[in-house]
Amino acid sequence: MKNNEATIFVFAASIIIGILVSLNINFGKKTERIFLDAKQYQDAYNLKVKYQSEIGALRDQYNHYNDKLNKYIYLSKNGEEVLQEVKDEINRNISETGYKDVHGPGIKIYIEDESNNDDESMSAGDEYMYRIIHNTDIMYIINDLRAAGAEAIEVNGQRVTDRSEVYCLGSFLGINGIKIATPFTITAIGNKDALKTYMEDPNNFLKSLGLPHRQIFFTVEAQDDITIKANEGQPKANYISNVKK
Amino acid sequence: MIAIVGLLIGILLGLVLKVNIPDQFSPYMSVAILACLDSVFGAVRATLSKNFRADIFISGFFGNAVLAAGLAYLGDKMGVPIYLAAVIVFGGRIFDNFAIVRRLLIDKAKSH
Repeated sequence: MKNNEATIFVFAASIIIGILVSLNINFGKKTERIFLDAKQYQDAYNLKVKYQSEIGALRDQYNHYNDKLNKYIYLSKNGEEVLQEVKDEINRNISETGYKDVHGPGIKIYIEDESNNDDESMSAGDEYMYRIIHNTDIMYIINDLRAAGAEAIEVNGQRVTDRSEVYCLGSFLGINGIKIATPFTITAIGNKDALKTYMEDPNNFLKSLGLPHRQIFFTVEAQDDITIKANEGQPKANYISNVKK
Repeated sequence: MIAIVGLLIGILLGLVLKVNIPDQFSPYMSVAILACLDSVFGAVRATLSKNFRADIFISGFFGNAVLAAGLAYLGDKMGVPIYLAAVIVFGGRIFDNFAIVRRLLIDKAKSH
């Protein structure tokens, strides 16, 4: 009897192992082995790390939305609280998109050219063109600031939003349809140390303004609290409408 | 003998059912299979030496598998190849058990 019992157990266990083995070994498809050289391995590894961080970010996003959903469900017994929550979020979105005053740590960039200088050496010509600040210069600086993680940017009191243009209007620049003139003060809210380091990096655009052929004066100053005004006016939405999914 | 028949039936079942386990579990499964195999060898040996106990067999079968897979997972997380411990221990024991089974079987055959 005891022998029988053992046989049954061993038989059952063997079946289980057999199933596990066949699950683990793919008889059907052969796994292809690919040999990678160091660079390919590095690239693949970087890709893996990138995807992992993307997955992490998506997971965070999921948690964030899940929290929000739970909050709504939890608060749904009390209509007013939900309303307040929605209002808060709208306000936050409005300030993030640039239609509300915001403040925080950041940097202040001051740039001044010599277009007000009546010196004879500033005669018209190529040299003169080099030595004044153009709309493209401001665009490069704004671009660099965004790349460095600036969350809000303002040029001479004009909040730069996703709809802002930086336009050349002769001796003026146009931002948000407003004429502004040198000297320019560009303020940006974000990680002030990161922003300052990035803007002062010799490889980035701002430093090139100081080269001998341009001689444009500039300073970068980190500040603990900067207030950036809202973009006046409202974004127009006459033609765009949501895509229904 | 019965073990080999069971193994074949199991493999066929697995092929027919075509249940795929995620690739990332594959290394842990291998270690778990090794642990299970060790238990079966132990059971065969115990049967031959007539001291088989079902409770010990079952607890060892599942317990060892889970522990081995768990160790492999832990090692993976810590970056230390702990699964090697399971591979060496179970591998060694499988050979030990097989040696004893062999002797017992041969003795049995000779005594007939």
